[in-house]
Amino acid sequence: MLISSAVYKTANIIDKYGQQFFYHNENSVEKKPFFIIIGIYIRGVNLNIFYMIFFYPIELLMEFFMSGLFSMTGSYGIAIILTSLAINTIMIPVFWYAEKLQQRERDIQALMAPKIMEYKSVFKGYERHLYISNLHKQYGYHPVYALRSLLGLFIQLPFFVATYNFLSHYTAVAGVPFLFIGDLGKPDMLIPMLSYNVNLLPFVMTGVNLFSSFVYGKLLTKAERVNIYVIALFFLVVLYNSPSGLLLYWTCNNIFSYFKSVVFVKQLQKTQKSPEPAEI
Amino acid sequence: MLNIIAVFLIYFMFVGDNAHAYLDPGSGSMLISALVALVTIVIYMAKSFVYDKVKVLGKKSDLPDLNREYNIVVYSEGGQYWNVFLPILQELEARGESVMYFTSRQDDPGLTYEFKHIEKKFIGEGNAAFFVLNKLKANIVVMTTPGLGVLQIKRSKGVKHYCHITHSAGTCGSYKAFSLDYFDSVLVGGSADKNLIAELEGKRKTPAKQVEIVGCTYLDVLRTKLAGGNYSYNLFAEKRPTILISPTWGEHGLLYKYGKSILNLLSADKNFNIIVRPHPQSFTSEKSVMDELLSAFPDSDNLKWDREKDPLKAMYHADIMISDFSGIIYDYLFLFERPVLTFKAQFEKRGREAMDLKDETPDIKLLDRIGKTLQESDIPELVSIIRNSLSSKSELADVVKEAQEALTQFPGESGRRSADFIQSVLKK
Repeated sequence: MLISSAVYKTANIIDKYGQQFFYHNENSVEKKPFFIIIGIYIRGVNLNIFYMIFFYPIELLMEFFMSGLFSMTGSYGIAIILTSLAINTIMIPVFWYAEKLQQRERDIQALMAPKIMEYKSVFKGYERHLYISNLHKQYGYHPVYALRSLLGLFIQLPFFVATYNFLSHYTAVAGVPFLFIGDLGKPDMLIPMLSYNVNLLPFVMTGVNLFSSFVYGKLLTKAERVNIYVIALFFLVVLYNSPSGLLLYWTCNNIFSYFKSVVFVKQLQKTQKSPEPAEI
Repeated sequence: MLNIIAVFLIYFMFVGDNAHAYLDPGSGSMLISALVALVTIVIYMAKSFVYDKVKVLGKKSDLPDLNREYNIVVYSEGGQYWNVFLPILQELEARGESVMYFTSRQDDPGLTYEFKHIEKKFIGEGNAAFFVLNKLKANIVVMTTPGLGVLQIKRSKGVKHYCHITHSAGTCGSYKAFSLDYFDSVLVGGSADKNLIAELEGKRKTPAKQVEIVGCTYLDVLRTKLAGGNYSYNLFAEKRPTILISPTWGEHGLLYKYGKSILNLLSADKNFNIIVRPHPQSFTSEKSVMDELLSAFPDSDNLKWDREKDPLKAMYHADIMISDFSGIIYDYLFLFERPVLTFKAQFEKRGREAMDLKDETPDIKLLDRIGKTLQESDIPELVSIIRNSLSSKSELADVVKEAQEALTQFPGESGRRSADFIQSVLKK
């Protein structure tokens, strides 16, 4: 906990420094570290424009679902679950496209891997660089193509950020109970332990997440699998104190993500084929 | 390490004191891949930049006229390839073709050879030579250097045709990867290389090259030398069956690995004469091993170290050769038709063309038929193996005839056939 607290504090310092550096007027926009993430900063451009273009429409869409589904069901808890389902359904083609791009990258990397290992075992320095470059050339590949997987991420980023922004400021759920959760606007504190109340939902969410990772992990290399397990545990710490409404949303999101993974794994395994060197 | 950095980067990207985003497993993995890719790309670009830009140019005085459009350029890395080019140059000279001979060694015998139509120039070695070759303008460039367009020598836009000529009676299977992929044509000794190149082209989908079987030019030079030379018996006072130990250099080489045990065994047997002829590179690359062997097994009445440039004398005296996978095996076989014992298991395929071929190349397969292929466990029995091989050497003639078709056709015609091919390219 000490380590995570130290990391958390460091992150805050960097975030604040970033804010001073990246924003002209600290009060003009709400703090939005994702602008720092994507590194878009052009002096003189009002960053609100980016917010309005990339995130606000998605927040509007979420609001539309939440209020519509609440008026239909009369429960904010059920509205959160159904909104999560709706957003996931809308996102399926985007996820599929991004996944295919990444799979293509993985396929060609896997195909070149034995030769790259061979060259690494016998060549050094410049000679190794030249042989690997030629291997890339013969497979019609360039290391820059690895950015293809970044494209998929850029498509998804606005959804992540907008979802978070919307749910963390959605005042309608403050003080609203759902099933065993006392207040959707606050951490659940469901497990009493000595003088503390431990939050249950973050562990439920992480459990689902790890299970989903296990299914998705069948497609990945060992190193990639370790990465996603680390991320799952990492966000347990990070989101531990979040409002239970948000955790309910992400838990549902991860359940739907699990089913999505099951289908994707099957589909991708069906369509996997061995590419050959490109015509030169 | 990179992965740990990536996880922390994600943390800083997505986590603030009042704003959190969240990643599901798929997206998290995608983000990590993207970050790792970004870092890899930056490292790759930096490497390319450093390797491409940080180059040392040779002396300006060594530069030939790079604005001139040459007809035929022959590039040699040095004197060791002089016998490869000599028959071709003699033939082109006789036909009155204009040729420029570039060499990377000032002691190349080609620089002092008397020609009428052939100009000669030292262009420096390493980066200085690469600079000249990469800016050249010529109708055709002929060279033994492999790896065009892969290693430092790139295809110059001013050169219309690049032709590689092989410099061993073995096959290109022992060349490093991608050696011939970007040449327009290759002059080879026999059918084995022709088939091997076609197989690699099919596998890599590189454009088909013109592959012309011309024979082995340097073997023709040795044949002529042998016919006119005087190699009378004068190495040993007493005539006994003579063993030539002639390995390649490096830590996979025979002398490096088993030199001590083999020399111990053979030098103690006074029924044989032994010539030890290490690869010249061994005295640089594994000097301490050579020094140790030289002091443990000095010249004696039945053992001689041979460090002469010309290998013919040693080969002429030997009744049998012990080697590993050195090109000299085939020279000895085709010139003298005598048996060769080989330590074949030491051949390292990784990083070579042989790694991408379905079968073993004919030159490697041949080793089983021109004498026994040995392993470390055979060393104690070496004397009796040598005796058996010497008594059955009459069967070799048929094997050699068959191998000639695969590895070195048209003895005595290689210069004429090579020149014919070069002129046919020029006509096009």
